[in-house]
Amino acid sequence: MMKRAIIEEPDLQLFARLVAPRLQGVVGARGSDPRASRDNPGSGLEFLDLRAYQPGDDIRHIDWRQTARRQQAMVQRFRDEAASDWFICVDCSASVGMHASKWSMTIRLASALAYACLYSGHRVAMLLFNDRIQGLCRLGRGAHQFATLLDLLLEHDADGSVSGPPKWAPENTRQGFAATSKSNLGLCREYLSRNSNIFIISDFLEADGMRSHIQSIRSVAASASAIQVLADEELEVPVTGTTRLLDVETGESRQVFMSEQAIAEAKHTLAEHGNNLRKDCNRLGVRFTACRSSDSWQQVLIEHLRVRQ
Amino acid sequence: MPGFINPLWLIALGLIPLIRWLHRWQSPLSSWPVSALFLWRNSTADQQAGKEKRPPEPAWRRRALAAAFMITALSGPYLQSESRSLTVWIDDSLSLGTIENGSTRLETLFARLASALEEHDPAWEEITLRSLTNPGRAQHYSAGDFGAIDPDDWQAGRSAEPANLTIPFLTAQSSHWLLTDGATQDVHTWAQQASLQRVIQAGVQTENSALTKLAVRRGLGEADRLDVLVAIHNAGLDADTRQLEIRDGQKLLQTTDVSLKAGETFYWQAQLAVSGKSISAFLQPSDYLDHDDMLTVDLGQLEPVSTHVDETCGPALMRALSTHPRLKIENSATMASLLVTCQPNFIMNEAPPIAQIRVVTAPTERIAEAPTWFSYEGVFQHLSLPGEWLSAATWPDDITFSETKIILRAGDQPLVALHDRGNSLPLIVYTVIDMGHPLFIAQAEYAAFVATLVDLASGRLLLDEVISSSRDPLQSNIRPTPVNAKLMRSTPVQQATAKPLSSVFIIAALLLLALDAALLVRAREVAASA
Repeated sequence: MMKRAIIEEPDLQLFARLVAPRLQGVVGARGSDPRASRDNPGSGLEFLDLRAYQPGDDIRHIDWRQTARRQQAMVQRFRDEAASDWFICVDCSASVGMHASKWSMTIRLASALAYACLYSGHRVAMLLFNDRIQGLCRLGRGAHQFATLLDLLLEHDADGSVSGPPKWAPENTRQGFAATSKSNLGLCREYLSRNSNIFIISDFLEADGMRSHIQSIRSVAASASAIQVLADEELEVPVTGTTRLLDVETGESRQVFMSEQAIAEAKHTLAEHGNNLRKDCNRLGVRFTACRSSDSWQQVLIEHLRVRQ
Repeated sequence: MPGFINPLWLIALGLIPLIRWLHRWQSPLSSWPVSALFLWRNSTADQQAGKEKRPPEPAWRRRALAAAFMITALSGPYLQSESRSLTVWIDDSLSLGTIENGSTRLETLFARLASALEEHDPAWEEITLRSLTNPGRAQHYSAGDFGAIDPDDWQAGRSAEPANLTIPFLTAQSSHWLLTDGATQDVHTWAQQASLQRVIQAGVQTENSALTKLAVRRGLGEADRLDVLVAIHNAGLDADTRQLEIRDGQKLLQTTDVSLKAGETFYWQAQLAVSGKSISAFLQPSDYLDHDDMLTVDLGQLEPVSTHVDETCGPALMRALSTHPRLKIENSATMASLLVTCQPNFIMNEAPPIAQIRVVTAPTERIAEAPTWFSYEGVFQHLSLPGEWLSAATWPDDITFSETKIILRAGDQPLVALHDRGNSLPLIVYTVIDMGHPLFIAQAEYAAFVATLVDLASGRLLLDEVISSSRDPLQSNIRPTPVNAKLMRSTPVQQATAKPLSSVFIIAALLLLALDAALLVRAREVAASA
């Protein structure tokens, strides 16, 4: 399953090339290379290098000391501040992991996003959370950072455990579990940098839709995006009659007469929950996209970034 | 047409709703993890809420249906295809010959049977008429031949009166009707035991007197006269006066008026000179049942027995035989039916096929002990033969006792023996007693002994032979009584001809239960995997 979750490098490159302008915010600012690099000179505060003065340079950037030493007008160049920081918050709670397809889709989206951001020269960090922070990869850039992020994704399962298949995947589900891996997005806030860009990938299957946590994160982020991943089999219960439904995150149970009507009502509740979540995100300025585990990850991300544009 | 043997079981079907109700309280069999429980908050059957009605498990329909099938099976369902085979039991006892309104009761019953057959729907495929008094006598008719049923083929009183009737022919594959007048008690008993579907009765009259016995014997005093005894029984409910006529063929010999109380039996006797071959008794005038108003006996049996006495026998034996009132001495052995011979050389295989008395005439000597009868004690015990009167020859060696029965012996010495030649040949009586002994021939016992030998050889008690004709007085009872047979709609016969359906319902219930068990196991497996 984990191998299936990994996207081939050519696909990632193609995707990154496609979405890089949208991640930059300015298409073709630096010629044909759409990537934003910290090594490119720009209007940032971080010193990059010195070069000879050219007409048009800001005279405030003339380094007088070096000009005197070299007998040539030299100007300081600074790193381009167009490259920003991206935090990808991945929900690895039990509700995500109970369906293998949902967790697989989550991994694909997170890894593709990370690759695209790194490709564009951004720094990327990743947080795996459920009821606590299960995995953390701090800001970094480059191929090495992507390898680290990918290892983090593949190393952790959706219930927060390390390695092995997700505990709540249907083929591995079992009765009498002790569910504790509830989603707590708010834990990510202290790890986020101000004015960074936040990507949240989750099923958002909390009664309140994680509304307060999204709002909290949005308050410190330059931008925030939310992608809701739901499994196709989210509401499939292959039993009939009176059934005890168990919440994989809370362990709470509820006796329900399982019928087509009950499933229809649950679907209605889920749709209503998604609509409310979308409204809240719009109100908070958070880009929101909902997808199914069977959807194409490229289309989901492209659509999401297009909207963001 | 469907039916039930025990329909009361169907009341239990009222408990089916209980099964539905019980399934509302069944604990859930399965658990299933979901990613978010709040998505199901609007679903029904939430026990925690406890406000909404909880629908029963869907399996209740399957189980209720199985229970209904089992209850139905207990009630004994059957698909009754009415039997197309009919057996008509005909009470052909004598009383069915009673004439009422110009026809006999049997004819009336056949007419009613014909009407009943026309009314019956659907038509019978086969009808068997069977005699109640003689079940082996039967007539079979197939569809279309019912018109060929002829009452004249059945005559009342042909067989013996019904008594101790059994039901060996009362098959379950046929419907059974009974034609009777109800005058015989055994028929009532039989009808109550048998599983009859219909009883057709006829008969109104109750009064009848009958001749129940006519007995005749040769008069001992005057050989040409006969002692005649007549018994008359009144089987009716009222007194009756009839005239008794005794006829010798067509010749009226005697007329007597007889008055009888209800149920009384009157005996009339007289000594009459009869020259004909038979004698008859009549009751005049005829009543409703005239079959029992006449009795006739053939007098041929009272004729003298033609006897040939061999010339080798002594005069004493000849004289004793010739004075026997039931013997007629013939000169020729060919005309005789009894041969008395004293020839010493006797060859068994050459003996003529008639009854014989063989007297062994070898040298004799006095017997040591008094003779003793070894057989026929009841008949001959009155005849005592003292030993001093007798002398006897030695029993011939060629007469073995393997097929010979000793009748009289003195100690170990056989004196009289009876030989059965088999092949239905008449008997041969052997005696070694000296039939010319001067002391013996002077005794009255000599003639009695000779008569005993004759009775042994002829197999009859000739000196006291009575011939008679009689009928059971119960046969003369013509009083019809309604037959109280249990003519239930659902008789065992009908059930036997019906196709039982219990097994079908049981199989259906078992299949449903098996299906339910399979689904239950599958549900448990799913729950266990969850």
